[in-house]
Amino acid sequence: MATRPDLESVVERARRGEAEAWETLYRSLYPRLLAYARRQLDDDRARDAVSEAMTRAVSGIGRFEWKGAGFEAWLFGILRHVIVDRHRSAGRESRLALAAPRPFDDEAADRLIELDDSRSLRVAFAQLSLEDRELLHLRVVSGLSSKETAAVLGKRAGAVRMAQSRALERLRDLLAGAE
Amino acid sequence: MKDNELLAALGQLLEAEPAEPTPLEIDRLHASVSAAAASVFATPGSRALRSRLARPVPIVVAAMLTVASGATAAAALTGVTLPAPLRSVATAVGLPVDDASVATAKSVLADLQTALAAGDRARIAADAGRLRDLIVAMSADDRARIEPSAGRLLAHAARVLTSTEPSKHPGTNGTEISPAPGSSEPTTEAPRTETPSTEGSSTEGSSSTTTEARSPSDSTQSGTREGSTEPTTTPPGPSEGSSAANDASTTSGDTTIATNASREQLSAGGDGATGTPTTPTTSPSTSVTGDTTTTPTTTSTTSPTGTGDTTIGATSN
Repeated sequence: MATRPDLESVVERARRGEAEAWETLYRSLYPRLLAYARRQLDDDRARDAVSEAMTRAVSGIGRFEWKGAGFEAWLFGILRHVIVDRHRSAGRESRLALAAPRPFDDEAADRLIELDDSRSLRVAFAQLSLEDRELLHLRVVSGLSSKETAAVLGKRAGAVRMAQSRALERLRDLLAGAE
Repeated sequence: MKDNELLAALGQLLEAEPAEPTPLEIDRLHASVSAAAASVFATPGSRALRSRLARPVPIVVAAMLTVASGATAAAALTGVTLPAPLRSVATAVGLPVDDASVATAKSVLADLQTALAAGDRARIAADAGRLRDLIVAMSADDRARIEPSAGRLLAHAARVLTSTEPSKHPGTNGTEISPAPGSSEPTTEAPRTETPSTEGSSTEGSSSTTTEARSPSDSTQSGTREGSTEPTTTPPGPSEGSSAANDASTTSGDTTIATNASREQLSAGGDGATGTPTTPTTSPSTSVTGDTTTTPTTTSTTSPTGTGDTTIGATSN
């Protein structure tokens, strides 16, 4: 992850229309963006959603201001809108898929299964609500701050911190129940 | 387990896998960057245009200007005379629209040309006289615009009128043709008799006096203009008119189109012409003038008869 000064420099170059800067941003943020999208879409759709989000970011960079939550939050917010649009266009079936817990059938999950704690944590996390999982994903996987997460979700930072605390409490309860 | 520990564990559990965008996705990104760069140059103008067009008043104004400019342009191309208000707007906008007097003069020019083509001497004389009046009334700029073509056509008209009916008066069959006021066209003068100027040829300001002997039977009236309805008869014989007066007529803007052959007399406008009708009216020769009639007589008495026009008479015996 690029440091803040580096990120600002690259973003400003991208704002001036430098394709190389945009590619740098794309490559550096791609794993986290894809991981976020994969939480709610299948792999192909998740990749397409990330690509669409970058396209929208390129066309809308003139509206971005640093006084907000930051570039990453702005970009995750775009991606979130793209995902919502995809669900709307796909209909109810996709909304159900969005709401359903995503199975951890990837290699990372397999590695975690080897650890009892990780296995219990995985199961407990899967039982959380969509909102809780999304919030925790943005905070943990995407690495966004409370303020940035709030910007993505359209909430206030205080509300995000409170929601995060409640989500962790529920996760803790689930872990305790699993034991 | 505390919140921080739980978040750290979740971070390990949900850690994003290393991933790279595909070449296709990179190409899509570059395409969008190029498209955005292109739109940056196109957007300001189009956005400004859209914002302007979004206002109803500018739309109405633009439509009016479009109609006005279109109409004036069409008028300029077709030669149609525009109404004065529209002409004013067109002039203010900068469209090449003639002044009303110029447009009218051009119209008369066309009429005169038609008359010349048809050989209608009456119309030729009438149009030439009318054209002469218009030219005299024009401003210097407008006159300069109409003068070349008008001068040629007036000279042609005079030649036509002259050539159709030869002079019957020996030595006085000349035709005095004055070009348009201020025109550099040479004046063609045929031989004529000139007599010393008398009282009747007073030249206040500028005057054009052609003095020629006339035949009593040859006088005809072919041109009638505003303010020239009073025919005067002149006795045959030498009449007034000096070369100086004729020079004045050439340089002062007066125009003389005289045909002694047809005895058609066209009076032309001019400032200060004060030739007067003469009292004796023994000759059937008729001179139709504008405001002033200068009659070729040595016995005439001069009386002020207004200003502006001078009789151009060409007679032959």
